[in-house]
Amino acid sequence: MSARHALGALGVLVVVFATSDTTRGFATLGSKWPNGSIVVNLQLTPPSGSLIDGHPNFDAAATTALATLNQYTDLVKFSAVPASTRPRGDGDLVNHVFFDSRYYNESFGPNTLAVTTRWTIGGTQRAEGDVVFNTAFAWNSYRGNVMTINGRETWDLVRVAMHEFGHLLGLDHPDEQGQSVNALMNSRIGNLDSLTADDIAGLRALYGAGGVTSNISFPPRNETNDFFRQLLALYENELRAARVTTYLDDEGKVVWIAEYTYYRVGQCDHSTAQSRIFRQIIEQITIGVCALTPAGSISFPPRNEGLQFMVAVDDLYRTQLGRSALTSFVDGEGAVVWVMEYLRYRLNGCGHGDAVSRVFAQIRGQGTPPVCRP
Amino acid sequence: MRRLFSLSLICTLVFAGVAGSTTVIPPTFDALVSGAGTIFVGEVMDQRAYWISTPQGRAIRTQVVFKVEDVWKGSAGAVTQLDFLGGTIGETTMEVVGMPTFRVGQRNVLFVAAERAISPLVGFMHGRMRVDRDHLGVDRVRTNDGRSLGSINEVGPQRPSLMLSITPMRLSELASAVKARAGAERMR
Repeated sequence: MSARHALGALGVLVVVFATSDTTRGFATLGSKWPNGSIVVNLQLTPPSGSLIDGHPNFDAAATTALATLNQYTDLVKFSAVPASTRPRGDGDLVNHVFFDSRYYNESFGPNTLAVTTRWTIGGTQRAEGDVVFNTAFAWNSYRGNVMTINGRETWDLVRVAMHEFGHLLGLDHPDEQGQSVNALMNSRIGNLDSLTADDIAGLRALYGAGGVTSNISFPPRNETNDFFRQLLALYENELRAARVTTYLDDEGKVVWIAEYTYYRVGQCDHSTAQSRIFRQIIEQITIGVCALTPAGSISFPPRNEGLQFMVAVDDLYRTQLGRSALTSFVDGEGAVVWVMEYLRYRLNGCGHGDAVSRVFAQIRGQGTPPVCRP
Repeated sequence: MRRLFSLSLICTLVFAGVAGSTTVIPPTFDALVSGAGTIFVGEVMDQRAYWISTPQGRAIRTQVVFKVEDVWKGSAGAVTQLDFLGGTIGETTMEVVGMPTFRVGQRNVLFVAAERAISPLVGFMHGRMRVDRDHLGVDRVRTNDGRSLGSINEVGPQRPSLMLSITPMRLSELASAVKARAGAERMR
């Protein structure tokens, strides 16, 4: 083989190796948080006017970033404390996120958007992480390409925060580990404004408890809670229901029925769904669903299984968690039937108000179409 | 080879990205040189981590000692030390994302910031380049993360995301470019 051909072969070999790297994916830093809640103190609050994407302030934008990451972790969950009043400090085992013109009294230096520090104990266990955003730059919250506003490059806090919080969790820059993947965790930020499959795979590798990430978006919890408040009022005022004894409070009912539905829609059978929720309650470990939900109309579990679950959770609260007896106008059966019906409408194309009125029409014995989606 | 070059060009256009690192916007080569008060080539002789007290708590710093081989801009003693925020003491590690870390024996080109800041180097990791000697005894330059630096055009926001330069540039080529740029600054 001539020297020229040998060089050509070497060149091809290098390209092949470089291509192979693209399939390796995310990079991690070798340390993790212990299972449980990671409390993050947010002190980013201004401005008074809404940000471009509608967030009322930067704490809300950062909370969205934390919640987005939470969707893909089971063993740990960020717990945001907006408008925190905790005194800022480094090395205090408290996680702080705030704006400042300096990083703990030290100049950022030019071109530094944000500084993230991580504290690790024993080489593997994370103990603290602080993120300080530099006020020398213009910040907002928006989706899409990087914006220039009034002649200034303006940074989207949500995507920068997701990147920095990814570091807090233990993700590194894949592009600085010889890999070429599309990832928000790459060392450069730009027009990419959301987590990619590679970022999610990294989060699952660090903090996944098994299972599959659901492909179904459930309605926000505040809307399901709002539905239940209206249901309580209807049971009390219109149906004149008597109070019943329960060990699970009304908010808990909504949360766990929604979780049970989440697993069932995610192709788990009754006992698997119930055992995963019990692990959530007792061990605070969230596990993925059993399989992706098939496209088309989303089918729901039989009501008797939902009721069995409700009885079991109520018993768990009474026996294992030692909760006291409470009263409610909606009994366990009513809660299961109507919350699941509300969720069924929501997952099949109905908005909040539409789903509420369709459920209430059923309760009042009126006919209503089964789904909103054509 | 032309096809390989074309592939490289396409990859550059696709993966070059827009702005810069989340933590630090990568400085251009000119900004790297102009932002540095001192630029030198040095080998890590020693490093030591220590606790510091701050008004907001405590932190760890690491003092890294370099044997200076060559000074390209400003002045530096034969043995120069730089202090980096972060480090490990016993079981406790404090890391600052983007801050370079060193090992004894490593050779580096260091762009030391003219003004004191959290990082002693211009643009955190961008202000550190590694020097490797190839099998022919030629000193060649790599980025902080160990990628081949083909030319000064690959420094900064346009740095390719893929390893496009199979052969890193020579240290002597980088020295010439830095000195020329620093000389041009002085002429102004």
